Amino acid sequence: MSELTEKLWPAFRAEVVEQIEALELSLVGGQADSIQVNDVFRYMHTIKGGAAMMGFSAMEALAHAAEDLLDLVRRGQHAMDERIIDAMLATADALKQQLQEAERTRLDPPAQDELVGRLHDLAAASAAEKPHPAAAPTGRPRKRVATPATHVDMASSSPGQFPEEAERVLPALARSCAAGHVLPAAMTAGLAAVARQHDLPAMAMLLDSLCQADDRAARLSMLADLMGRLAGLETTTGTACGVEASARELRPLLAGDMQLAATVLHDLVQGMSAAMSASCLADMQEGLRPLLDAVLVMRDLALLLHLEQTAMLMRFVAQILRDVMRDMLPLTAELAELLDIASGLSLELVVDSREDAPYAAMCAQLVDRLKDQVLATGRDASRLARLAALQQKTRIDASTLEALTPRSLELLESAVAAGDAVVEIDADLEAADDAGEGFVAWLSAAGRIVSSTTIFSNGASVQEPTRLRFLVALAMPPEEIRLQLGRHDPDRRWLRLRHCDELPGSGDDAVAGAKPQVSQASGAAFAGGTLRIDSAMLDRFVSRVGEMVMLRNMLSHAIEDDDMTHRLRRLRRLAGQHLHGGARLQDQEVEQMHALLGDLEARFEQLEQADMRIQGAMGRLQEDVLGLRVVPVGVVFNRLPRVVRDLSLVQEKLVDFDMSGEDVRMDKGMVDILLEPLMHMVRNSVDHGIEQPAEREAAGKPARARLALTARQQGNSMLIEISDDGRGLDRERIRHKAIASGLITESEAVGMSDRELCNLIFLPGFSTSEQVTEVSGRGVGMDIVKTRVAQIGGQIDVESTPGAGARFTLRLPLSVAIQSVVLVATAGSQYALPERNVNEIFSIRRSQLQWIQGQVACLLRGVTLPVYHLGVLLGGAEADVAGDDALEIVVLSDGVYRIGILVDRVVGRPEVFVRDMHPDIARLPGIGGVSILGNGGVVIILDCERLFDLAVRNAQTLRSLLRVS
Amino acid sequence: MTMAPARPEAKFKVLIVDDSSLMRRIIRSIVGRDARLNVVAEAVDGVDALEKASGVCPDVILLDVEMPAMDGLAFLKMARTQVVAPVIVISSVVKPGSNQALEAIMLGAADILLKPSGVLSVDLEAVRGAELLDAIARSLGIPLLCQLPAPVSP
Repeated sequence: MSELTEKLWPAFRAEVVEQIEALELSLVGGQADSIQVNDVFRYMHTIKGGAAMMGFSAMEALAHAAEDLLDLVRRGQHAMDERIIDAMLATADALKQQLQEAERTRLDPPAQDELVGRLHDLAAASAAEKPHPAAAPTGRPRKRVATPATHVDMASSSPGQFPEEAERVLPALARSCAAGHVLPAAMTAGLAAVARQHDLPAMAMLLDSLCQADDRAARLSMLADLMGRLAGLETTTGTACGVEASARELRPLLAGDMQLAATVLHDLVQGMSAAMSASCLADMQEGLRPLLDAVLVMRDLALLLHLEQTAMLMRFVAQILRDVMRDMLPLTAELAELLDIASGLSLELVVDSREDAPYAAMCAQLVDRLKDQVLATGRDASRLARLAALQQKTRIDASTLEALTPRSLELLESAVAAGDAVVEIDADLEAADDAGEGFVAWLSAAGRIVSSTTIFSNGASVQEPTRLRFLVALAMPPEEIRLQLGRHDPDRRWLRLRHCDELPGSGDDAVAGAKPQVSQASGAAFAGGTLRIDSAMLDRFVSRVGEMVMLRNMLSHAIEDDDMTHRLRRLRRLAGQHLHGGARLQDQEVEQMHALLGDLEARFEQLEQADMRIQGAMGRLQEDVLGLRVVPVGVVFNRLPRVVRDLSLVQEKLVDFDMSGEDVRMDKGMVDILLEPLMHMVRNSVDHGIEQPAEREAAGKPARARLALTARQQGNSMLIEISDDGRGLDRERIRHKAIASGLITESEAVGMSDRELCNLIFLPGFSTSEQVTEVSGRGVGMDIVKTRVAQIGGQIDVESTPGAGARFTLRLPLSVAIQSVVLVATAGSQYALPERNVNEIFSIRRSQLQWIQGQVACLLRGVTLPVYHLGVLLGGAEADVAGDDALEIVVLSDGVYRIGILVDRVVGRPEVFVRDMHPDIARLPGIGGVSILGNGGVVIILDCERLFDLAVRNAQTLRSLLRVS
Repeated sequence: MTMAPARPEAKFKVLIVDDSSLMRRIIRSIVGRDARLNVVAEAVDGVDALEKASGVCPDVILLDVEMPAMDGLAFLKMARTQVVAPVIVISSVVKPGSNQALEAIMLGAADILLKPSGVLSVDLEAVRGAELLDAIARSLGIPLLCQLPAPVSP
């Protein structure tokens, strides 16, 4: 279980979290009567399904119980009241808990028996309370679909006097047909009328057309059809309809036909076997058509003579032949042998055609063997080997390959051998309208369509359109294919290129490689989180990468030319000879040189152009990758209604919570940091700002308080406002508290404006709440909020009107520079080194440091690495290193230089937000930026290029270390 | 559902039964290649097909198997007494040698064509489209398109 669980876990986790969030939002986002029960039901249902898939039966049981209850609500048997909402929210909490547990253990989390019991009780109570006798007593309304009840009944109902009439009329009719007489209409009209009367129109029509047919063969064939249908009718009704009676008449009359048909059939089968053993494919194919005809004649005769087993066998053989003819089945030696047996059987029937019951077992056995043979051909070993080889070469789905007919398999193999690009293209032609035909026309003209398959949308839940999947061989590079697809479907609406075969640099390869990288990068940034990527975004990556591949080709084209190397070498030799006083250059040689220089110039221009375009393409790619990190702020907002609801319930306050601007987008990294402060502030507003309903009414305000959360973009920043109409901030208390905590002096307090006073609450160590409540008493004060906001480069401000409410405003940068750094400690300070400059980190003994060419150095895999002490490099005191301690060395490189930096220890590898620095600080050497860490501490990000400069100047700083060694 | 442009020269009436409108559209375009054929009606399931068949009296029926209300095999059972036209089963589920194939054959299907191996290509020149036409022609007892002396399609 573990490997699969591990593989599925991220998707499962993401789905459950998503469903729970949606569930909570549905439940508490609006009024009880506006809750979309169907949605809520579906969320729970999805969770249940996921848990079942993962084998988490405790989660499944809980979600199932909740789902059952919701089903009652959905069907109107229970109102969506507070009890149910509470139970659902409790379920959501419990599911979250279980998910956390499972996250740790990857095992089935502990059961929530109590809650499951509560859900069951609620469901049982609703059944008892609200029987809804009128609506649906047994639950599901049983609405009978207007289906072919009449037809079904008809098939089994008695066909009235038709069988009787058929028994009477049919034998004579059969006799006439076999004798080759033209049938007078009067002969069939009576029976046809009875057939119509008893809803057997097919019989009636066949009887009618019997009289209209021109020759014996046509009449016999129609009669055979009729007899076959009547035999079926006899089986369903259990009443004889003249089939056997007619057959008795026909046996002597058709003996000659039987003899002829069986002989022809036998001869044809023999001929086919001979052609097969001579491996004469053309003859074999040629023989199939008459063979099929002969089999069908034999089938008709079997129907006429009421030889049901033979008819069945011949029908089956005919189908096999049709499949072979259209290449659905290969004609194997075994299949030919079985056909031979079948034809032999028909010869035996000639001798005695009274009944084929004695052959029934044999026929059944033969059908079984044929069936097995047909089923086996799909799995024969050589075909499997060919499929495996193709799969290796093309990366096409096994299922697609398996469905290939022998002919298309050969086509595919030859295309692969010819080096064509083999691609799968999905086309939603329904959405394509007129463009589809152009595409198909191009496809058939430009390449060979190996197969086309219909891909049905899987399940009702996934709204994926039915598409056609073309497997095509195209003699063009993948990027050209992509270009062409773009031409037919510029918006990438209905055409999709699936995997590409493994051509070097094929776009999809690059994407396949890039995808995990993207998630890895974000995985590092967002602890344990998965990032969902819009498929349109992925498509854009594909096109970007395609662009890069094209540019790479352009580069290769500019530099790759065997002849060029040869010409250059020759002309250099000539020039050398000329310089060293040997032969003088001939005019012709100067001309060659001139041409070559011109060529070189052109190539250089190409290179320049390619370089420029690569820069552009790289920039766009980088932009897209960064764009992946942008998410709507609603991701955070949506978790807040639940917080407000829970708290106001506990404190018995009435709060209307409004949110707006959820669509404003921001960096995913900021979202994660923002959640905690926003939750805290919202809690604060409910806890401290909003009064009890009675208190509000006494103050002349409506009992229901209003709490609003808005986000909007303003220039380069995002503004988030949290405002309430509560009691506002109490200046006097703030003043007291601030003075008492020593944050300000009394004289300072006198000169402070209202706003300054309010903003004191953000100072560390400030907390006005006199009673520590359940919510705010978690030791997280507004100072933490301020630190968090500052960490992502934001500011926070508060305004308040006493008695009328408060408004907190967060101003945040829309985008932040995020950098991966290696955090190191040296001489009591922490510094951040940009990760892109860090090659590796290793530790050595101090005794391993050496003095090489006036420089402290060590050997790293046999190569000398100059080593510097970071503290000393930055102008600090010489490090005091004693004994033979292990030393940490960070290897920095800018691609040209490589140095080792000696540090006390490596602290971590966080991602940090780079903040602007004061210009005076920015001027200091070696400092590239500054950042605030999660703990509020400030850290300097070092500029490695400047460090290299410093290193050169401080080449001899580590003498002290060397003196020891 | 009746096809708009009736071709007077077309002799044989075709009824298409499939619950997917995409499929119907594709099959229609394939059938349209043979000027002797004319799609006179389309049905979305077996029940609909029985109704349409009794109304338009098709010469051949192209039948899907997986359908709501009444599936293809149930339709075949009904067709024995209700419909004269040969029925060609076009399905992704009825694979050669499968029990369903056997049942369809027993119920008198004139032919069985496999869907996912590409019977239903919109590419009108594709082999599979031609096979459907061949199957239709064979079930009607008329010459295959390729055997005709001159191109029939306009």
